[in-house]
Amino acid sequence: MAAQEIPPVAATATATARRPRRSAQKFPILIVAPALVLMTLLIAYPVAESVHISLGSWDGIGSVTYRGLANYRRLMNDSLVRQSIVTSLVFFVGTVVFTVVIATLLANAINRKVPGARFFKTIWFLPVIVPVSVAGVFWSNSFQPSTGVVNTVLGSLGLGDGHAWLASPTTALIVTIFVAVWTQTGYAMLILLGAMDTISPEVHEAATLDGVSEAGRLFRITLPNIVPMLGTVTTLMSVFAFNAFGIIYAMTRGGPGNATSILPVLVYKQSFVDQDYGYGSATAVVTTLIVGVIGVVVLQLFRQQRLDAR
Amino acid sequence: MRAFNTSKAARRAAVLLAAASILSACGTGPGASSGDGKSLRVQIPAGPMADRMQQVGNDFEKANPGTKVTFESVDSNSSRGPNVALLSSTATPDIGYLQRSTGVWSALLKNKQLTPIDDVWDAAGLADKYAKSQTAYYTTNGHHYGVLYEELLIAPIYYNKAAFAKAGIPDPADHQVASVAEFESMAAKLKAAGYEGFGVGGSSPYDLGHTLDALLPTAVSESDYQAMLTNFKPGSPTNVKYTDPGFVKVLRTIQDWQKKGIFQKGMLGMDTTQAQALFSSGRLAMLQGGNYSYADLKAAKPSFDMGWFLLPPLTKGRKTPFNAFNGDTFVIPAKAANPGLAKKFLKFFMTDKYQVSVVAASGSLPVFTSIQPSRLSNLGDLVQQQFEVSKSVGLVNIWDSTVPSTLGQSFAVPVLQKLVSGKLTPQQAAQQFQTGLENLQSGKVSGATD
Repeated sequence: MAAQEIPPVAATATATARRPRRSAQKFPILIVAPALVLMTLLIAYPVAESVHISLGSWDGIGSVTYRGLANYRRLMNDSLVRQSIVTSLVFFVGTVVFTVVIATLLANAINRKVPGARFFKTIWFLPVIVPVSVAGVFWSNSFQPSTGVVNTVLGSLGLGDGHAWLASPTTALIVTIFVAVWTQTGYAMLILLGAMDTISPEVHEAATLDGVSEAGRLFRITLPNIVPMLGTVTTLMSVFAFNAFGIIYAMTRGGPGNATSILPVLVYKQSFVDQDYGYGSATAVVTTLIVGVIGVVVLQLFRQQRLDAR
Repeated sequence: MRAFNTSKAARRAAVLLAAASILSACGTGPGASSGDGKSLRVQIPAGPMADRMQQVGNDFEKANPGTKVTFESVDSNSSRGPNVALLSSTATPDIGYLQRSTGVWSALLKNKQLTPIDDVWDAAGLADKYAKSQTAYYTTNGHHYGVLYEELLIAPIYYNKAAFAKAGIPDPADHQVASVAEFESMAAKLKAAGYEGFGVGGSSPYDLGHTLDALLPTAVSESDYQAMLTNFKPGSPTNVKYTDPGFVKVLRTIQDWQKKGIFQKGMLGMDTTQAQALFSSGRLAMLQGGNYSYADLKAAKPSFDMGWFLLPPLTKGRKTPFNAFNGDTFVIPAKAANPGLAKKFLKFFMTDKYQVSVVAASGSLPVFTSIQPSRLSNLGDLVQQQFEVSKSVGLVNIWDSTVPSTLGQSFAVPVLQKLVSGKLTPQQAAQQFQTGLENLQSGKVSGATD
């Protein structure tokens, strides 16, 4: 055993090692201190301040007038907030499920060296580097009924060329989910590809010799081996989906009506358009709690999967 | 060799870091004001006027040797909300831009973040040059806190003359269409001739509201319309309601136009720029715009001549007036570094000369009543016509930008979108407006007391 190979003298020396000097003990703390200070300033303080503002009324200037839980009570009875929560959840589920599934399939195909793998890897990653506002304007134009490329393509396939995608509350939400998936899939794919690359090729070769099909290898070898990274990717995509303000605002501004008004869009409108920062902050606090709960649930789900895989 | 003292080094690093943070916070980086009485930062809205304002800056620098004027543009979305943070901070420009109808004005005024500029008004003679309603709109407790520098005419409908000719529709006489039935018949003929009908940027935060604005003064009596412009204030007479037949008729008309296919296909998913592009391409026959749209439409070099008219009245026999937006405002924030120089600049700018050479040349209308249409050949032919017609058919203050945004534009457009998409009946939408009004009157939502 490795422990028995340690020479007795060395073992004794290790056991009786001098305690580090007090300054040396402090050094790690000092090293992380600047980061801690910055995190406190840039994250903890704004979050605490948002909670503070959510407990009052504030028009963006001067001091907050304390109103207790009035904003939260108003929020409970606000049908617009309820609608936004539902919209956010639909958007979240649609975006995360499609992104992770498509990214996994693409990463697997590239990992299995399908013809043109490198080319497709680049193509699928390109949307990630396109600024969100540019992507929003591009797709908004593409989904226009009489001038958009989407209807032109559908028309040439005999699937009708008169769809008013962004004008209908139902299809507008579907389109925004599609664009969010388009922008995020490349990123998820790249992370999952990195995880798949760590699986030894011999394992796949052995499975092939045993007659395991491509699909069988994906479900029995690849997926069990990348469960931790799938958890990370799903958590990241969940957070991205819940905070997808840019795409929505660039494409629909939350409309038509409030059909695509996910919670961050609603927070923007309440705070910056209506100048009701107290109410906007209360909605932001609730949004943060929802994202937090979803994050914890997703991580727990994948933790359980990981334990089961062992 | 001397041992490296980690503890001491870390302490030094921490002190340096803290010092750097404090210095950066106190620094005079880009955007900070110097307060030297010589350099002036002027915020202007992004758009066609930005280039011409540069000339005003050059003229001011020549007239005041040693001064330096810098212009900073603010986009439309920021100017309607987030700009309040900048204008109330110590990094504020010396002159800020805002729209009088937005919460930015209310918040700054309520928190005493605007410098009174009665002396600018006196020196420039603004009370005599503005219309009485404009002066009243810009007077708070007997004082003035901003200058209105341009007027916009809302909702002229631009049309493709070739499309009208092809559909056999004569040019609307006196820029008026007699009735809704006639307008709907025009749209039907245009569709039969292969064009999309009436274009509105339905996903933009204001365009659909302008349709309501254009129809409303023709659907209710003059006194009811005036009441609607002011009855959000606590203590105002409240006998006029948004559930009254006139307002409901406007909502029903808008919904009908969607059902009858009068609007262009996909109107709710198309913003103003996209609707303009559809019109310029020749596919859309009619486009709702403003006097400010004409420059963009001409710049797109359409292959057809354009005309314009006003939407039909909802009450038989009435003429449709023009809606005027009086809200584009320059203010001097209370924390401006050079308020004296800012006042000097505003006095310099608010003259007939710049009303013609800057405001009119940018496609907007001058606000001084003394300036006659004949002096405005640089407006462009159609806008000059609009200006002339506005003198005869009359001007009304635009509803959705006169009432606070919590009832006006930011509230109204999503309600109208739901109405058009069939999620609300006209009565339900009207009730939402009435509830919005009551929320303002009771103080449940802010904006009623500015």
